[in-house]
Amino acid sequence: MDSYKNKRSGKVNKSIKEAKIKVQNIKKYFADLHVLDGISFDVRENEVLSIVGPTGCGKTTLAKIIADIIKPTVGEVFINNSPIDNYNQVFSFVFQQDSCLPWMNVLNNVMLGLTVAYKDKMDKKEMEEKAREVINLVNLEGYENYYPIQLSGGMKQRVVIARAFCLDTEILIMDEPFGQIDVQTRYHMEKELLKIWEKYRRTVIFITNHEEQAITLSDRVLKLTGAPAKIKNEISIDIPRPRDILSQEFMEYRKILSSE
Amino acid sequence: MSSDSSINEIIVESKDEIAKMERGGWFKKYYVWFLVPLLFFFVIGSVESFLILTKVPTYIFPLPSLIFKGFVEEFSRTILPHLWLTLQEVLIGYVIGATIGIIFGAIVDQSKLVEAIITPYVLILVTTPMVSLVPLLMLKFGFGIVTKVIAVSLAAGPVIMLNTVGGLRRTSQVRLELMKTLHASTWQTFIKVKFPSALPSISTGLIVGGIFSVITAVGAEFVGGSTGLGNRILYFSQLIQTPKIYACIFTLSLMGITIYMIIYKITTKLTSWRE
Repeated sequence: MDSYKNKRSGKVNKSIKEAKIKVQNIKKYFADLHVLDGISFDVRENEVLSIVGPTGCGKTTLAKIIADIIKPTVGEVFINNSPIDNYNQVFSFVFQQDSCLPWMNVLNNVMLGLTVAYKDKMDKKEMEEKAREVINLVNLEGYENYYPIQLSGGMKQRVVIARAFCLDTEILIMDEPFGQIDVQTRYHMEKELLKIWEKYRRTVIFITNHEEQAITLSDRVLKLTGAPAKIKNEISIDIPRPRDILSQEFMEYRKILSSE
Repeated sequence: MSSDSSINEIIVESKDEIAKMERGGWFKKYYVWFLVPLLFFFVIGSVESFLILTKVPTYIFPLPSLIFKGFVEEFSRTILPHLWLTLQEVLIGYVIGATIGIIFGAIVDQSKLVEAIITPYVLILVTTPMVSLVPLLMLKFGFGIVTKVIAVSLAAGPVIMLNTVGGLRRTSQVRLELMKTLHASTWQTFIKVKFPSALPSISTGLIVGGIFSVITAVGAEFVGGSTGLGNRILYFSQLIQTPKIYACIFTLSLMGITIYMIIYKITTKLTSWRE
């Protein structure tokens, strides 16, 4: 373990500097189940990075390791050039499953992050203003006093996304946020997401199993293999936004991403 | 202009329509309130005629009319004051038991070790009929209300605690992880996520605990002392005044139902967000 640590600190220090997040040789086992097999990559500041891969390959596990929800078996995550344990800011994390709290109305659900993480920084009125601003952005105005039980799946997902955007965190991690949403709403949400991202620029890690979605949204796409996951492929998407999914270059990227 | 007025007419018409529907729906909405008493009087009437026809002696099963007479006779003299005493035992014991149960449940939930150590004792408390402790309690605390309050809280507390722990344990993983990403404190996680998640389960505990409370209070009154409706049942049975025994029993049922309904309403209201 010691020798491993020495090796790591000796080797990497230089390249970390430009990276916001540095993921290093992450391996994860759940008992006998080998999920992640030595994954390393960087995420640059204000970059949108998508991670694609077949279902069950460990994308969610990887996202949770980056957000410090679970610990890797081997390897380490660095943020701003220091180990993740020293990073004391909160993460905006959009979960794959519905994470609306059913006992809170839309407004309080969106404000949850603020009331928990920014309790001392903002007063109640500021929080509410901020929450209403983001609620408008995701087209939920008028639903502030509704409870999740009264909302459709797509609307609940927008509540969760609004909650994540309310916090001005440096890092936003979204784990298949549109997984439960129909195609039509998804296209709309992708557009909204880009709009929001233009407005509150930040470093985004976007987990998805739709390659098309990944190319539409991100600056860079990492493709993982099936479990145990390794990085199979990495491509930078060099098309100006908004991107036309029917354009020639878009097709080119799709071909590159799906071929290898 | 004309189109405006026609729209207004339509609006007025539909308002009338709605009002009509509401008037018509009134019976639909409240028919339970007619049917329940109707059925009640039908059952009572049938029992009364059956007893008259078969000439069942009063000391075995008194006529409902005699029970009612006994109830009216004893209402202000016996039933009301003793009901009040029983109610006090139940309410004070229940509130103490529920409070301690929920607080202990929350503490136990903080650590698996504490849970493993405490659970066997809680199980003993849940499964032991608390009435059986009453003679012991009476040696220490006498025949007054204290003994009964302690017995009631011992009966209600553990079952509420078990349900609290169960509910807190079943908090969904995503919600806990969400709080983790927000660096929530233990208290924030508890009050914003875990406790509300556990509320449906705690509600069940509160309802069962309420039922246990009434049973234990009446049982404790049987064991000793000279107060409470349970005690009056013993008293009237020694005098072979069967109608008055039944009057006491029905009063107790009524009290039990009322307590149950109140707890049920409150807990349903608290968990109205439930999916």
